[in-house]
Amino acid sequence: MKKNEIKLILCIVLIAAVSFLVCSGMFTEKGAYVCATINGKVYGYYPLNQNDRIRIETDEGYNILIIEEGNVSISEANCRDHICENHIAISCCGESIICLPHKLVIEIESQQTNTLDGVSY
Amino acid sequence: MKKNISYMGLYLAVALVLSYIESIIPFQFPIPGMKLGLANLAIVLCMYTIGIKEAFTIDILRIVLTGFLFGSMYTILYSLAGGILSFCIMLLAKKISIFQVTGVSILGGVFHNIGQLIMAYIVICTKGILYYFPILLISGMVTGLLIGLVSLKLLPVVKKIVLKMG
Repeated sequence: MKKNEIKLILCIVLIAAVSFLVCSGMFTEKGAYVCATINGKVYGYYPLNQNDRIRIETDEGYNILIIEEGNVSISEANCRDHICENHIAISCCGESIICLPHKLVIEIESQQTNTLDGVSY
Repeated sequence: MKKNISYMGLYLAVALVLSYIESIIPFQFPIPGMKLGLANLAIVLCMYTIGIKEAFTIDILRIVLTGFLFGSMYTILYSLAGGILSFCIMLLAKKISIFQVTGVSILGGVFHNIGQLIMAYIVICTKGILYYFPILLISGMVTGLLIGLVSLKLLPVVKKIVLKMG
């Protein structure tokens, strides 16, 4: 029966490796804007070519978004886990930093889509 | 039947203490949703000693209680999604009988993370969250494997105790 476990582990590793390759191939195009959405509703669009320091206020707390040399990161947040702060800086289309407790999604896009309604695709 | 309730109480207490221990570990995992899942040890042991219905009951209870004690409403939501999915898969795996405890536990760990990821995707609605899939798959597998190995060693001992006191 031990053999079945080994096969299972190998299967899982294989699936993880394949999906990792698929994911890393998807995020290569440099972005033009970063879009911040809170709970699905667009909070704001910020161009990547301007260095900026934006304080985003959510219902559950704040996050500070930093745009520097085309890289986007969160420098400070008062969420419980601070995972968003530790996230590596993003710059390519489709990449995102998510603050789950604040329901905040920071995503890189190549052009502004609809700014009026909530965006989800 | 009365015996079962006492044992369920014991397993639930163990699950809660394990969750508490997990909550005071200062090390921060970089990925949302990545955790040791120590409480699953109690669930797996219960599954293999008392029964499946009982294990399911204390799984739901410990998720809700742990959420109230150490987390938030969203913690409960994500954990329930992960917990229910992983329990169903573990149930199937145990019934088909091609895996030992370790295999069942690995599947439990993996699908717990998958369930949480799916719920997070429903709540957040961004494709980007699926980016975490590969790493959560691996971490679920590793934690499941660890819990499974510990269960493998503990089961003979626990079974003896339960039978003796029963």
